[in-house]
Amino acid sequence: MLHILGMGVCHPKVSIDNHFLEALDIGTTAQWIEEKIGILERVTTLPLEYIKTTRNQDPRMALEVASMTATDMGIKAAEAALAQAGITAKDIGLLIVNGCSPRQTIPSEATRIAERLDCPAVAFDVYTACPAFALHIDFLKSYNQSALPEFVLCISTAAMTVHVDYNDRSDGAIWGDGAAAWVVSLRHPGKLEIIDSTFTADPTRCKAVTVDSYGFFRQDGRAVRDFSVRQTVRLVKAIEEKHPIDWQRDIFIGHQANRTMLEQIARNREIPDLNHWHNVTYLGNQAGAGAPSTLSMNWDKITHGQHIVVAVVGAGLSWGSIVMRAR
Amino acid sequence: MFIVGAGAAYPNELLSDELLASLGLNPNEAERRILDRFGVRSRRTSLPLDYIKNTRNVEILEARAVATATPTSLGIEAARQAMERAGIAPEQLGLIIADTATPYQTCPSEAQRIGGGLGLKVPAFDVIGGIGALSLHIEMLSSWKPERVPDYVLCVSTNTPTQQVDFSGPVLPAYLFGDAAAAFVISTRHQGKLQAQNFYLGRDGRFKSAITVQRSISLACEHMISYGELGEIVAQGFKKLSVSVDMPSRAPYLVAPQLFGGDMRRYGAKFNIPSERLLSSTLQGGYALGASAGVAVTSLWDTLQAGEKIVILHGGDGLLSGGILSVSF
Repeated sequence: MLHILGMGVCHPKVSIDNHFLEALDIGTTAQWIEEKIGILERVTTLPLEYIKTTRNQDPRMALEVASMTATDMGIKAAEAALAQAGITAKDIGLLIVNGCSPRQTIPSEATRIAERLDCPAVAFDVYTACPAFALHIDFLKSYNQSALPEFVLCISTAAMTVHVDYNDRSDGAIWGDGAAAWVVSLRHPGKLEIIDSTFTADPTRCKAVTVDSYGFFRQDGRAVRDFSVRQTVRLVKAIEEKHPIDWQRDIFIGHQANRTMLEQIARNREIPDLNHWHNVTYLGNQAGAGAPSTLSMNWDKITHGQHIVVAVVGAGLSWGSIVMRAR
Repeated sequence: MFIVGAGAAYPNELLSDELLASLGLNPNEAERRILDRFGVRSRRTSLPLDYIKNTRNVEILEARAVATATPTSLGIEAARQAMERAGIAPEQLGLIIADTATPYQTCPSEAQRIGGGLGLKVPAFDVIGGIGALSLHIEMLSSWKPERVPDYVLCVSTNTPTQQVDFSGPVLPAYLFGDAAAAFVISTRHQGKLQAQNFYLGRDGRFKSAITVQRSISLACEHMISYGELGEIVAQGFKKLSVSVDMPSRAPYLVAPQLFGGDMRRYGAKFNIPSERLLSSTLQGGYALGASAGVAVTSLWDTLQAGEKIVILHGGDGLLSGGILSVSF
């Protein structure tokens, strides 16, 4: 059985509030954003003055002015996860990374992070964008027990605001930056035991969400939103049928795309507000880092015997789920 | 672990030394020595030659507008050939894994774009190690529980590095890189033409990556391994794969680190491997990063005799080192 031994996050300090976006005069208001998307603030690696003056119309400039890279954030999140797990980078035998916004493709994001952590492990990228938490857990579940090293470090990191067109009233309101990391082991028990996971995709719909390597994020917003809600509900229902989930005790974490969507899902499955954990309201959509960062930020609230249900949907289109039990 | 089908794809345009020289890209003595180690004589490019001549591809984003192929289109073409040789329909695939260092989009993954092009609804994600895609993908799948590996898995590596070369200089990237894709259909249950018998995967912290792919692609010669270190990597690879070559007549085919096609020509004798058994896709096609080794293996597909062995080695670039010993049926 896989266990999660420790988690960590990193988020940039600069925050974009809805009044800032309203002041950009791009046809949106703070009230509209709050009502439609439910996000009040999102964090960014970009200086506010840069966004205000350029609207990020040339993402190449964003790379020059950003305060941190996805690699920087991944390293900080990894250091926090290692500390929480009580191990060092030298103990890691495999490092896998989901990097949604790489500045370089060779070396891979995983190799760059491993080198800077002074981690000698085999390192490579395992990538699907938003449902990374489920992909990484399900990926590791595939390994023969003898083939998996004692400790595996998983990281999902995304500096998506670099790819945002701030003339678009929706995209600017959605995206934030961040990284999450988690230490996994088959042999060493941790706070969370993985009891189930899934990951799959429908590549025929891969054009619904795209990020150009040197350009902008684009999505078929309405279609993706409807699909995400329906698919997340299906994932949660399937888990409810298979596992003894009690929403008065157990926790739901969805893909941190936007809060109104998450609330729609929680209402459908009758999940009480207190047991629906999210961080999108004040951090924005951090792509593959959103769900694991939410779990990490609530780590101390996890209680013995509780199930944590993660259901994530995103680009690809791809989706997956994890069921964990707190020890 | 069987390789039941293999395919390759590359653009038609050939970029010659003469054309590069006509652009004023004339290597100096030191650069000639390095190019001699690469051994590249011509390179495949998805860019029209007139575009290179007229623009030098200085504004790299313009390359996409004129390119005759994308990493995805090459990956799909290679995948179709691999499936045809495997005798399977796309619908029989249960998983797609892809590697690219030159994606047009960072999202969705290359595997999902290729899956979309094939019209498939299957799990698909990228597994990217930098250079040694074939070793990484096979070692990874061989480490999985048998019940977690679908009947047929498609593994693709595809790169169009010439679209990220600045042909106004420096000289070395212009002479080194070429575009190509390689695809393999892998199965644990269905016997194929090749069986991966031994494999290993590691990371050698002694070396740093000589190649960096950002917006443009660059080469840091100070990070390149020496001729002696390359020999050491090959010797260690043979040892890890339990390969010994006592007589040239019984030598395996060797797909050594593809960056050093020229060096390997010289190393053959040292390892008792005749030159016709040293496989390189880079000599005529240019270096296509993670796809190069796969393209070299694919070139043998139709002529392989039963009992032939292929040794595939990656390493010396600070990313992943790995190897596979495959035996044909």
